[in-house]
Amino acid sequence: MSAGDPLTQAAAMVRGFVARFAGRGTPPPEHRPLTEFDRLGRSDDELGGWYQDAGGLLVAGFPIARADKVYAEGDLEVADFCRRHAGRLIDGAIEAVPSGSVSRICSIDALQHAADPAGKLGQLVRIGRPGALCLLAVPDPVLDKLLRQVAPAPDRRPALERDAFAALVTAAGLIIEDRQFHGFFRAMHCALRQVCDGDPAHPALAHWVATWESALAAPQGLRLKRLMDEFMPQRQLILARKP
Amino acid sequence: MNEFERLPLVDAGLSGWFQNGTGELFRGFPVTAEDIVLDIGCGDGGNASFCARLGAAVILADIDPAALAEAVRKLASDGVTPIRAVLTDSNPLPLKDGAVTAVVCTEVIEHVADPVAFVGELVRVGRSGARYLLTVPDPVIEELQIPCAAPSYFQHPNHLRIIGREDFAALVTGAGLVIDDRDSYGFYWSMWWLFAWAAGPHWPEDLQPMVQPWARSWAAVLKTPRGKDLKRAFEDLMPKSQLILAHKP
Repeated sequence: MSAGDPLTQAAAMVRGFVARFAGRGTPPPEHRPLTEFDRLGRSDDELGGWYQDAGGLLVAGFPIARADKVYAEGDLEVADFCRRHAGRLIDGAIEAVPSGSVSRICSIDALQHAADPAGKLGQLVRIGRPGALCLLAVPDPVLDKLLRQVAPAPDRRPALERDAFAALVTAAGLIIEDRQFHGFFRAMHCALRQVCDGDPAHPALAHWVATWESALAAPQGLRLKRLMDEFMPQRQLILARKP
Repeated sequence: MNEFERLPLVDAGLSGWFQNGTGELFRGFPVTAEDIVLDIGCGDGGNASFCARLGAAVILADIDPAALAEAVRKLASDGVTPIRAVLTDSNPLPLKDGAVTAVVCTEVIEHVADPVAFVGELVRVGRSGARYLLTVPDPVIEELQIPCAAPSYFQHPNHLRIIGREDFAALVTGAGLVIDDRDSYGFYWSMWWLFAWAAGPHWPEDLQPMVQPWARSWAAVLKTPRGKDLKRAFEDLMPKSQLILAHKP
């Protein structure tokens, strides 16, 4: 569901989703309706602690309130949540954002695309006020390695190892407050898509969605989700504070 | 047998098991009419039955009289005669030194009290040149199950220990065997077991809504041109079992 996701269909879906949630009217007719994958993905995210409207938590440990000025990049659903809960959302070019001006920074699946991730992170740190809270998310290396084994991608930079991600954040001067891993359901779907020849209705995918829907409803389903989210997540997250 | 029921066999075959065309119980483990195969901890006798169909003389051995009786029934129904069955705790095995040419030992070592003594017995009863097919649960899925499995899963008479990949190799070479090949397989079953634990106390009722679509999803993967590549990647990441093929010098 991120801008980094290669599926343009997913991006189109998100645009439609955001347009509706942002109160901008119904999506244009060319936007496809939400699929079962989209719906379950959102439910799975929420079970993982995302998008808690009642408490204003973008994710567990990351509150956003009217007093906050938020910079967000990389994910339209995240930007939408920020828009609804923050006093102000900035999602434009970071170079134009004044130093020390924002209280919340959300960077989702963006650092790995930067030619200089440390420099990019330095920019994010620059715009934060002292005490600003940062949510940094990048793809997890476990899924990345599995995908490379199925479809080698020598031109694409490998995902940051978990230790290297933490080292990058610490070296930028941030203090790590929490680490989280999210999205086994989406990671598995992504892996299965590798053999489904671009068919979003492929039985391998449809039955996987049905499998996970039943798993989440099972008596110990949430425990399984937490276990697998850590084992093979779609994304690794770091919550960090600027001193 | 419908597609859903066939999946475990199809998946096992793609992993390397039951290669009818080449007469191998597992890829790299041929069995012929010249062989005397010990299937130790034989369970329901599926491996022994396959070896018997290739003409080998088989010796079934198990600590559990019910399992042993079931294996004997299975081989008898497959037309295997004579059937040699040994009820034993393997301490020691009631066989002479060098009695067999091949040993099949799948998912047993994690159950026994003294793995070093147990594997030593397997080596003792093999002739010079005897071949060994040994499997144990893979540590990745075993460790994932620690927080979710029923407590009995990691208690006698079930799994007494988690055997690391290097520990497994060291156990085999320490007993005097030479490792010829290593492999891992069973991602489909790793997921199956995780779903089983998610079902909690009400399985199998609460398990079916998970494992039926899971089987259909995995069957659909295996039918795709690149399904085997994805299976291989998952077998490396989260296999149910690790396997060693070895021989006695």
